Parts: sequence; C-alpha cells; structure tokens
Amino acid sequence: MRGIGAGEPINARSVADRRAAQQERLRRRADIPEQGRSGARRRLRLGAAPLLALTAALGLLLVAAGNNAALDGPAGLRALFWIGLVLIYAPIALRLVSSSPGREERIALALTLAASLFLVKVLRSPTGFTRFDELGWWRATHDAVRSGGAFSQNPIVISTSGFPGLSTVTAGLSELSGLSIFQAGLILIGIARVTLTLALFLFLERTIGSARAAGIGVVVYACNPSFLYFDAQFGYESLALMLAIALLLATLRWSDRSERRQPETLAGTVGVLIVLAPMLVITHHMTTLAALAFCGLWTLAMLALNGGRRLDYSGQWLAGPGVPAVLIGVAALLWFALVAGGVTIEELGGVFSGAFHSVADLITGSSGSKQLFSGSGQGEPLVARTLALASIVPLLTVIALGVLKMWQDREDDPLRATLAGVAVLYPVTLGLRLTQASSEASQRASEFVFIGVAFLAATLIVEWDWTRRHLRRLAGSLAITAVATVTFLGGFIVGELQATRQPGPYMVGAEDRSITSEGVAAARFTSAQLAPGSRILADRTNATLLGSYGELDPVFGRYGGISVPRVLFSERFDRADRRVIHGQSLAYVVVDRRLTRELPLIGYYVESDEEGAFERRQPIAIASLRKFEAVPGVSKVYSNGPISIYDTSALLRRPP
Amino acid sequence: MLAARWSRDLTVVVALALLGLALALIPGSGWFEGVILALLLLVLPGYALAAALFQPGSIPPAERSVYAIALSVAIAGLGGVATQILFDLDRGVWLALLLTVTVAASWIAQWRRELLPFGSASPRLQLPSVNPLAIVAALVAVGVAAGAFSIAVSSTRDSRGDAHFAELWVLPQPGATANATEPAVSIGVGNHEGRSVSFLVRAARGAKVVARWNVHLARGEHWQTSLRTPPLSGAPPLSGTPPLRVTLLREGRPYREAFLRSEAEP
Repeated sequence: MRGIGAGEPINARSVADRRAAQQERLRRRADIPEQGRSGARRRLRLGAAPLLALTAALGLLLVAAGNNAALDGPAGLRALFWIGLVLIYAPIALRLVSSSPGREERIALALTLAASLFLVKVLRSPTGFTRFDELGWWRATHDAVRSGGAFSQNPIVISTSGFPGLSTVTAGLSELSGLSIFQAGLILIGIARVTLTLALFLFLERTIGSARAAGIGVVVYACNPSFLYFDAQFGYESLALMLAIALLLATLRWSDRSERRQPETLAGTVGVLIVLAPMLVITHHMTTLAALAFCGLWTLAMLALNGGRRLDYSGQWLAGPGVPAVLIGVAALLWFALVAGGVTIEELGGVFSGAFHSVADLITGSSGSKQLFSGSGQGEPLVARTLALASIVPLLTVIALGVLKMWQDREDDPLRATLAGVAVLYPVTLGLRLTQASSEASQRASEFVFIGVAFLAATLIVEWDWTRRHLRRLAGSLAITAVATVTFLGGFIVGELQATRQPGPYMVGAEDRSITSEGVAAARFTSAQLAPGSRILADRTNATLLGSYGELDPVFGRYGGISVPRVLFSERFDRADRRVIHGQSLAYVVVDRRLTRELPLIGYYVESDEEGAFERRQPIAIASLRKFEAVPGVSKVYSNGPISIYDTSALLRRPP
Repeated sequence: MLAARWSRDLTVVVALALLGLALALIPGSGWFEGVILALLLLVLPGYALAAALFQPGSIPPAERSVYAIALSVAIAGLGGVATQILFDLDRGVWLALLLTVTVAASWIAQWRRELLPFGSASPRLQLPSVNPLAIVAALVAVGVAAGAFSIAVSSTRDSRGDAHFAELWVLPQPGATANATEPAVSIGVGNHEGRSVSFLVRAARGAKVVARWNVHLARGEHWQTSLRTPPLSGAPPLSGTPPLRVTLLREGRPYREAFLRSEAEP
C-alpha cells in the first residue's frame, strides 16, 4: 500500500471524491490501536529521518560556529550561521515535499525540524535569558517561586499578573525538579514547540487528508517571521500556541461527523476541550482571541456553507466548532472580567490603537510610511533585502492561487474555507509593516495567519498534477524546496532585527545585544544589596536586567505631565526632575555611560513614547548623565565603570 | 488480585508518580529525582487524564501524545492557579496536587477499562522496533547537537570573560538610623577582571582619609567590610560635612569611585 498522499495524479477524479478517499485511507492508517494490529511488535519506519537528523545537527554546529565568529572571529565566518540554517531546513523540507516517505517518517522529520530550529534559538543565548519578554517572565516566575502565588505585579511585562499560566507551570517545574528557572523554562518551551508541531501536523493531516500535505504545512509554517526566535522565547505566546493548536485538534475531532458517532471519543473530546480552553485563557490574551475568532468564523462558515447539501449538520450548529467557541468565549469573558481585563486593555489597547492611528495617518497623508529595513537604524545588506522581499512573493502567489482553486472547486468545507480566509489576512499584515507603530501588530499576527497560509500551500502542492517521471518530480521538489528555503530565510530577516539575529559586541538600545557582563553584575549587586521592589529609573536594557535579576521595580510613563525619562535626558538637574523623583518615589537612578556612544538601535532609550524617540539625530549628551554627581543629597552607591547607581532616596524626604 | 488486573501503562504511570514522591522525601537523589519529578509535571498527569478520557485504541497514538502533554501543562497551570488561592505553592503542595491528579485519573481510567469487554482493555506496553542504524544515527545527531551547544556556551562565557572590570559599592548598612552617632556603612568590591588583582580601597571625608584596605581578590571574588562614620543623615545638620568618598585604586591609580552624601548637605 502506498503512503498517504503519495502524490498520485488527480485529474481523473473530482476533488470531493478524492478527498473522501484520502480521508478514509487516513482513518484506516492513522487510527491503529496502541497495541498494534495483531499484537506483534510493530516496526517504526523512520526512513531517512535519522540521517536528516544528523544533517540538522551539523547545521546546528555551523550555527554555533557562526555565532562564535560573530562574537569574536573573522567576519567571513559569520555566514556559517546562515549556511547552518539552510542545512537544517532545506534537506528536511525536500524530503517532506517529496512523495516517497511514509507517515511515520514525515512525523519524525517534522519533529526534527521543530526541535532543531528551537535549538537555534537556544544557541543564541545558551546560558541565560536575554530578551526583554524572557526577562519579564523570569521575574514573574521568580516572584511565583518566592511568594507561592502567581499574581504579583510585574514592572517589566505588565500582563504577567493577568496571565499566570506560563509562570505557574515553570515555577512548579523548577520547584519540583530543582532546575533553575532558565533550565525549567527552556525545557517547557522546547516541549511546547515539539508538541505544537505534532499537533499542527495532525490538524493539517486530518483537514487535508494527507500526511504529505501535513509535512509540507509544517515546512511552510516554519517560514513565519516569529517562528525561529520570537515564538521560541520564554514567553506566554510560545506556550499558548501549543495549547491553541491542541485545542483546535480536539475541536476538529468534535466537529468530525464520523468521530461524533462514537460516544467514547465524544466524551473524551469534551473533557479535553473543558480542560484546555480555560488553560489557554489564563495563558495568553492574543492567542485566546485568535482561537475564539477562528472557531467563531468556522461556525459561521459552517452555517453559511451548509445548506443541507453535502455536509449535513442537520442545523445543529453546536455539533460543530460552536461548542469550543462558546467554551473559550465564556472562559475568556469570566477571566477578563474578574482578573485580566485591565492588563489586557493596557497592553493590547496600546498595540492596536497605535496600529490603527498610524495606518489612519498614513492613509490620510498625515504621516509618511516607515522606510522598510530601517526600523533598526541599521541598513540591511542587499542580499538580506532581496531575500526578505523574495520571501513575500511565493506566499502571495500561493494565497492567490489557493483561493482561486478553492473558488473554482466550489469549496464547501467550512474548515477549509475558514483556513483560506485566515490566509487572506497575510497581505493585510504586510500592509501593517508600512508604519512603525503597526509593525508590532503585524509581527504578532504572523503565527496565526501562517496556519492558513500553510494549509493553502500544502493543499496546492499535494493537489498539483505531479508527473510520474522521476526526474521531473525531483526537479519539482527541488524547486519547491528552494522557494521554501528563501521564504524561511526571508521570514527570519523580516521578523528579527539585524543586530539580534546573531550575538556580537555591545550596542546601545539593541535588546539582547545590549546585555553585557557589566549589566548582569549590576543586577546581581542590587539583588544582593538593595531592598527588593525599590523603584528605579533606568534605560530599557538596565531596567530589564534590574527589574528581573536585580529584583527592583523600574518606573516608566509620565508624572504630572512630565515624562519620567526626562530625568535622564535633561542636561541640568532641575525642579521638574525633582518633582518626578519625588512623585514617583524613585529611590535610585541608574546611569549607563555607554548610552552616549551612539543612537539606540530600537529608536529610544527608555520607552517608545519618550521625548525624541525615533527622531534623535545625536546620542544623549554626557552632561545629562554626569549631572547626578553634583546633586545635593544624591549619593553614588555603585560603580562598575560604565554603569553607576545613584541613591536618590534622600530627595524623597525633602519637598520637591 | 486487583494489582494483577491493572493495565501495564497505568501501573507504570502510578509507579513513576509514587517513585517521584519517594525521591522527593529522600534528600540527595540528584538528577534522577529531577527527571522523575519533571515527568510528574510534564507527562504523567496528562497521560493519566487522557487515558481516563479516551479508551485504548479510540484515538491514534500521536494525537494521544499531544493531549498527554497539553493536558499535563493545563493540569499544572489550572491546578496551580486554583490551589494558590488556598495554599502557598511550595514543593510539597505541587507534589500533592500532581500526585493526586495522576493517581485519581489513573484509577478512573482503570475503572473505565474494566467496563470494556474482556480482552480489549489492556494495551501492551511495547516499544516499536527501530532499525539499529537509525538509532546510531540519532545518537550521533544528539552528540553533534550537544557539541554545538558546548561551543555556544563556551563562546558566550569567553565573551563575558573579555569584559574586564571591577565593581565598587558603598551603602548605608541596614538598620543605620538617622540619629545614630556613628552609623555604619558597607563597602564592597567585586573582581571581574578575569584574573587575580590587588586593589587599594580608600575611604575619605574631604581631604581626610578615614580608612584604607589592601584587597587581593581572585577572579570572580568579592570583598566586603563595614566602616563606622560620623552621621550621614538627619539631625543634627552638619552643614558643610563633605561626602564619604570611597575610591578603588588599581595599580596605584584611581579606578572606581563611589560616595555617600549627608542628607543635610546643602
């Protein structure tokens, strides 16, 4: 018997008949009971998967060597990083695109790809968390371990107090196993990444009816700009994505007519939905809203496309994805009303209102568009620009052709129609990248939108009229793999700042590139010597370190109409600075003299709405940072060279 | 005998959970304890719950694996958040929570399996056979990946080692009150120079040196002392009292400086 979805010619049969036959074969093949067909020991057919695991491991070796060169080596060797990425991705993609592997091999390859790409992120910072969100979640988990509760206020990532799923599980793993928070977090996110990939594979396999399509879907999903680093970081979205896809898998089982006829499976599926829906809700707002929207759209599509024709749902909308949608909706409503409404509005409101206003300004001509590839203040090399732009073309083509094909086939499967609808959002997210404020919304949407894109791409490729001639099939697979590899590399370039793709020397305001030994030493000092929770003013990097490892509370925002960061920027210490310190109860001000070297890469020193953000032409003046030396009542309690900490608590006891 | 009728997979799950409890009670079990207790959070409760929800053979193994992990994470997350309303989450509470869920779900799964027709309810715990060459290739791959990780760790540490600096601090000691006649201050030095270094630490008020220390620190070592000084804060106001200035000298030259000002200083 040939493997499922082995690339057979399709033009003689109708799409519906073919799909029904594929799904029937799939059920027969996939639903093998655990004990095996006859009780005999089953042989796992892994095919080329172990060999490709070896090439992926060699790719990891090259990635590590490239990162090493980026830190302290010949510039030419930095390219090993990119060669390593290609070595991990391309061979596995080629094998998954080809029609020869069996289902077990495809699953093994998909999981190898997921694990290897997760390890690329681990190799980027192998000894500790360095990204802003990761350090925020480290603080939340540390507070959960220390206090025994998970709702502590977090000065770095405010939403951790409203969504304690990640911090609670990591704290439990750390306490039980004796691992550090860093180790526990890596293991949890690594397992979540592999499970997400398996769940996505199964979801696409059941939707399209082909293991080959599922493998191709995984290959395409890995091209989303957030996949390599952002969704592999120690953050709530990384965990929530796994929960959401597992929830969708259960929703698919619930909505499957043949499955619903089995009472045993029905009850179990309801149980899974009842447990996973609230866990998703307490883990991440955006993923919850995305899952809710998806199930809602799916329900609407089912109602709209039903019409009593081929899909007979007997008008019982609750028999489909409506039940999971209601479960998620009720859980979300309760959670947002009782616990997380404030932090959700504060965090997402800022992102969406900023995106809305910037796009509106762009449309009305009130402001110009963002210059592409200049968001980091660094110009991208021509090769990187080309790759980034080239990665968009195949995705847009796939969406256009996929939607056209579904239209021609008069697609009436509600789930497939919903997935196509999700894919169509991709061009919209591209438009959002035209302004600074909406780029974040675009980035955050990519991991959801790419589920639809992966579905369309996989459907198109497996339903292509593949020739039986070996060489032509090989050439076709090679061409698809080459395009997929360009899309993968381009997606990474689009999604990650040039400076933070690989490690390297210190840069000002450059997220993980600004984390240095001096900053970590200062954080260790404050953790050991200063009162936990003391309020401080610091630039973004030091605020992140001191707010996490340093156990202090960085302060942002405004006081009495005055921007808090002004205290750092003013050239003379004046009455306004004194008012801010007094009003915000700032016990310490942290000064990093390296800020005077260059403009911050991300466009601002402390926060994105500070005065001069994204518009500065000159770095902060050294006089601004030296002024604290001469302020009466202010003591310099710590110095390690670049970083000094000034004690301003005496000013709090004086009138402002 | 009841034990003889228990499904093998559920027996293993309960045994591992109880082994985790035993290891947690015996101090010094090391990494093995960590592995078993990590399983108790990440795999066992979800496996048991999935077994209670789905009869053997009713869903494919791959899908069952997804639910086992997702349900484990959900049990820990939801259970932890709910439990902390009543108790602070410490190791004992986590153990009790996860052990209870695992054993209870296993018991329900076993009870449901016993309701099935004879001979259909006991999945055999039998790992599928794999080509030995595939195992060797996978092991080599793991080894190469471990090598990559090792390179990344050492290059990160080397880059940190390239930063050569020392830190100096001076702080009022906790409990030093404003009206104390001679409140103590804490003075400390940390050596991050990447080698052993001799420092001179000098504390002065104005031109008057009040103390000095010769400090030899190995790489990564810290030194700390306390010093009693005249009042630094509060009444009586010592108008014109110069700050306590602490200087760290390396090779005879000023290297770092920190100071404490009197609150009364104009």
